[in-house]
Amino acid sequence: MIPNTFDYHAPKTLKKAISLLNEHEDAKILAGGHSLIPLMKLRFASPAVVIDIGRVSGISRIKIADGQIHIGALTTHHAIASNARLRRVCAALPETALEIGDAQVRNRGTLGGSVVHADPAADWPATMLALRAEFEVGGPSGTRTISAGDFFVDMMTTSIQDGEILSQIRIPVPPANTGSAYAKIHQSASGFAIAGVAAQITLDGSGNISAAGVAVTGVAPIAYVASAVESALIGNSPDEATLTSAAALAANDASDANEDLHASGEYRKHLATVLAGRALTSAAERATS
Amino acid sequence: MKITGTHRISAPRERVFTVLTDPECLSRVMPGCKALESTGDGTYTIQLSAGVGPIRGEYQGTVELADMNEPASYRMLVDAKGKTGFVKGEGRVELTEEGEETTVTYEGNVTLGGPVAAVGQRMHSSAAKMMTRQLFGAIEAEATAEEGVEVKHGIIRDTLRGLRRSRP
Amino acid sequence: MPVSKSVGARIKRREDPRLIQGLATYVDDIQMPGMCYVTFVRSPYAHAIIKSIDASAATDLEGVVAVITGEDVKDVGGVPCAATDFPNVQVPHHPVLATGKVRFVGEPVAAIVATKRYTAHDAVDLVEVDYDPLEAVASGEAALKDDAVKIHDTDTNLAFTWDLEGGDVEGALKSADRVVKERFVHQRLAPNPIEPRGVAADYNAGDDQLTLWSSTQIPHILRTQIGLMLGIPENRVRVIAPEVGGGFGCKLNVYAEEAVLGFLARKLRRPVKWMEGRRESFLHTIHGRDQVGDVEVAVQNDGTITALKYTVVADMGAYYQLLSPAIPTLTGLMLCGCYRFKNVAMHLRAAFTNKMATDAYRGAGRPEATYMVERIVDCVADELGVDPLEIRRKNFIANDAFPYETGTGLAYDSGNYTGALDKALKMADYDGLRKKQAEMREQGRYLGIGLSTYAEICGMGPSTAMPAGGWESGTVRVDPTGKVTVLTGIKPHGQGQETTFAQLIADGLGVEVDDVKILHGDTDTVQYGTGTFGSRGTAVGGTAMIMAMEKVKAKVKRIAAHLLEANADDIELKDNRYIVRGHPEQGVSLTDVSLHSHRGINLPPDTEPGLAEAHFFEPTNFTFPFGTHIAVVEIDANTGEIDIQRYVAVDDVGNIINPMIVEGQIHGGIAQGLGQALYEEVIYDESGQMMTGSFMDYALPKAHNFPRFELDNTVTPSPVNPMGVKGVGEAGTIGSTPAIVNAVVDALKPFGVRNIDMPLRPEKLWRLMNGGASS
Repeated sequence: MIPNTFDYHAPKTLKKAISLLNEHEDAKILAGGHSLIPLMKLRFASPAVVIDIGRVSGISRIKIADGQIHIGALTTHHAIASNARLRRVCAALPETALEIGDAQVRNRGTLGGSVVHADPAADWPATMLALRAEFEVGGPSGTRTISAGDFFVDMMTTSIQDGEILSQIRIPVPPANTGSAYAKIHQSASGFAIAGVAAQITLDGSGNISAAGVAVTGVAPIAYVASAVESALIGNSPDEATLTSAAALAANDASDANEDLHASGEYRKHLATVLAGRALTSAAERATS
Repeated sequence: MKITGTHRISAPRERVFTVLTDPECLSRVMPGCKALESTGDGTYTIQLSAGVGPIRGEYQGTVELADMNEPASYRMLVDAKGKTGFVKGEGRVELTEEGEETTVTYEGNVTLGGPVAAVGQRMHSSAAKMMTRQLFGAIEAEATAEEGVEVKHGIIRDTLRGLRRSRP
Repeated sequence: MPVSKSVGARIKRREDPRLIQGLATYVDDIQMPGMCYVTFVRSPYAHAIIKSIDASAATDLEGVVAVITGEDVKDVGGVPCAATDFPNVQVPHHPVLATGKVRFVGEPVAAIVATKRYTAHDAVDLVEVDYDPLEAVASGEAALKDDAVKIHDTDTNLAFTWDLEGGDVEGALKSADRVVKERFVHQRLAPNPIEPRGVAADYNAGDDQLTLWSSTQIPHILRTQIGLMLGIPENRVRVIAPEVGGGFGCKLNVYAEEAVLGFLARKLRRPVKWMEGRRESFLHTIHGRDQVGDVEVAVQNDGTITALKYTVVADMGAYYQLLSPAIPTLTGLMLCGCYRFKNVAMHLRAAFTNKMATDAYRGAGRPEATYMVERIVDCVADELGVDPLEIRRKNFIANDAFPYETGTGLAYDSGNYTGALDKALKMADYDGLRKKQAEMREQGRYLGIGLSTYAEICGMGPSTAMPAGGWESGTVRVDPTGKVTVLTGIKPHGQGQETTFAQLIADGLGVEVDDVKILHGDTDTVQYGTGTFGSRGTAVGGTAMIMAMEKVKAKVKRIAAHLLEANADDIELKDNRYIVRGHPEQGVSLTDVSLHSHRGINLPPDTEPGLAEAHFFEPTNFTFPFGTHIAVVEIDANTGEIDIQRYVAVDDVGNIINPMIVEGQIHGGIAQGLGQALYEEVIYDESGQMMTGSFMDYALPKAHNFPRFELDNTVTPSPVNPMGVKGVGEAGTIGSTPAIVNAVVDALKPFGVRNIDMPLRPEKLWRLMNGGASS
């Protein structure tokens, strides 16, 4: 459990980090380290250069302004989990953070790191998709914004280019009468999601669902938006019958289902529907409270 | 681990067969292939940098194309080793004409061994499927490219191509 | 038990301050000038011919001192097995580094020595081994088929056979009202102590002395074996087991790495150290369990069990380790459990497979027996349509029947099975639970209540029954200034004897607990001992110590009598003073006596000066803890997830020296037993590749998986030793696994489920509850 040799840099600005990343061909960004370092210790990843962005300023704050929740890429899961304001404004955010790993992992792991790593069983990608997050990404030729829907391409593959660094995550502040939630079933060894569902529901003046964001992780090679569930919710009252029949569609948009020693594809798809029911029920309750 | 699947390539069968069996094209479409050299009789030595995301290993080994039945079918055997483990696979590929397009059907067995097997079992099946998506994305690009145009491959491009073709 | 101040008290462990403050010395804390680090190149194949090994790139790496292969150690003895006396036995040579062939993933092929730890790891990638892979066989049943690939260049993978017959099983099965059958799988487990293995070695040419530090449970036996393997006189080898961070049986062994490190220290004349990584541990530290078999019980319609037959294939792995063949035979011994029936048979075939060796892991063969007996009792209850409680009561060995001779040739020392059962039932409110279960079923909810009434065999053990002797040693020394040092041949690695033994000495000799030091683990310091395993530390090691202490005490009384001008028979210990009975003003302390004895003058006739005695204790029998565990679970039909609502355990471990330590042992034991039932499994795929080689896939239980355990005890002293203790190290594990599985099966009764293979993964349960096939 000892990594191969590597060169280490710890730039203090994002600009310097981007420049280092583009200067070295075989370089990896180190954020919280709880995905990268285990891989390096297993020698499954052996970058020649490690660029530690832990000292870069300005990318680890949580701020609510201009109708957006701004979360720096380097914000730890713990910071999100323990943020009381987020619990009131967008409950799915701290709720997701609390489901990750354990206390030690949450103290070090970051939202940005998790999102860029795009593990098929990571929790954040589902929540980012359900909340319609946007990612601000900096590269040698400037900054661009990628929507969550365009960001997660395939297993551990995002549309971030070599040479770019994720700096900020933006989530629209949910309007009034919105509730969100995250429900997960843990793999008993690793704690990763066998399945996880994030849901956000907004109710209109007559109490019907006017907007819905639902996404699933752990089931398919990468987290996906459960469009069939969203469509089945819009315009309907958030009663048990609606939520149950919508939740039953949670696996419809899975391109493929993961399978391994712990769970078959069929079981994962089933869990997606059960967790969708739980997340939707919780989100609906929060929308009216 | 069993790997089976079907892909539709929008190119005629003969063209697709060439892409699949010509070493020059094969070296461009195989995900992570760094070198592919013939040692005669349908056997090639191969150097691969294979993996998913940040997980990457260098593998060396052999690829054999056997039972060549141009343009309808062939068998492919892969035997590659690296520090993170080894891969041994064997599969049968069949090409069926569908007008101007080709349906490629494959069925095979892959054994993974060594450290990557012991620690990464949860990703075996999905990684294999993803590399297949990449492979077919690249095949699609090569097979449909115009004469003289150099096709650009890369993990994201190949994956996107593969995804676009595999979604109904 | 004598009236005590300290024995029976919940005093805090004397071990803990150094452990908590990081002041303990583990093998990885050993540092020596010029020390080099060792890593191993291990086979990635389950079965292959080694065509060539090219270590040139590794030896060229700066800092690499040496690379050795099987060729370099061909004169080193093979990894030993102490249990080979079986019919039809094959005893393949087990080389310390593979020669010619590799036979399981992780088998060591080469050892690298480098000046820096990082260099040693880097060099592993530079050793080129050319393998010619062969077909592999990864299950015991498959290995025994005629056409299976043969692992040891013989014509069969049958390692040995073993049969046990008591009474007339076939007759009982024929004449039974019913025969209940079931197939049970005891899956392979990885012991995973928190400290993996490690070895450091140093050869002093001046003294011609090899010192080996090893994280081991058996320092003396290890010394003997290392001496034999390396061809060194045993008194030129010193083994030191420093702090050992858990073992659970996996360090009751002799491993290739121990011999290789000793070899390297002598060859290179440099100190060397190797620390096992966790991935190596999954591959090359022994695994537990791995038996697959069928149980048949003969039952009368009134619920009386008259016979039990067990037919089993036990998976040995590719080579034996120290006790591999013996483990399944321990299963045979306990096939009657708590029950009266005397007709019992076991037919065992052991198989070689291309996997790591199996050997002793917490319970070592007895969890398998208890699991099957307690599960089949529930199956019998199901068959007869009665509550499982009834079958147990019907068949219990009666309280007045002890010592009880079983059909397997054992004599259970003492027991009160109804006592533990009744206490547990009351704690759990069993009748209330059955009512609640019925109510919940009407609401479409699935509550399950599972019982396990176990008896287990420990306090290992009479030497006639043990492969390498079962006695234990103890020396008690009193210093001139009255402090006491105990040298014990056991090797505690979490069991707390530095505390409990001090409690026993404090009360026995009349000193304070903190006046007593317990030494263990150093073969130069401590007289030959057997070690810690099989829940024997206190039952056997403690008895050896007590008997040595009694010798010291007898001498103290003689000297005290001499000093007080009284009869030795009139001297008694009261309030830490040796007084003339009835005359407390006439007394001396242990310090007084010891000082006097060391001064060497005015001693009673025929009394040697000094104050130290040793005793080597041969136990006359095993001991038999027992108890009742009750698990209450609810299963979520939507997901198959298990919620353990309550866990009640009433254990009888005989007399208790420190209740807090006993509770700790039960807690840990229950956790490991539930771990097997619900979470853990070592999986090799069909080609012998390890699939669960890390904690990403091997699920150890965690605190949040369990409710607060509700514990209590009954106390039925054992007549086997003067303290009346039975042993507690494995009882919790043995009792718990069937309790929880019985609970889950009970919960799923409405779905017609009678058996489910462990681990009880949620998907398995979900399928059973939603129309799928079992397992």
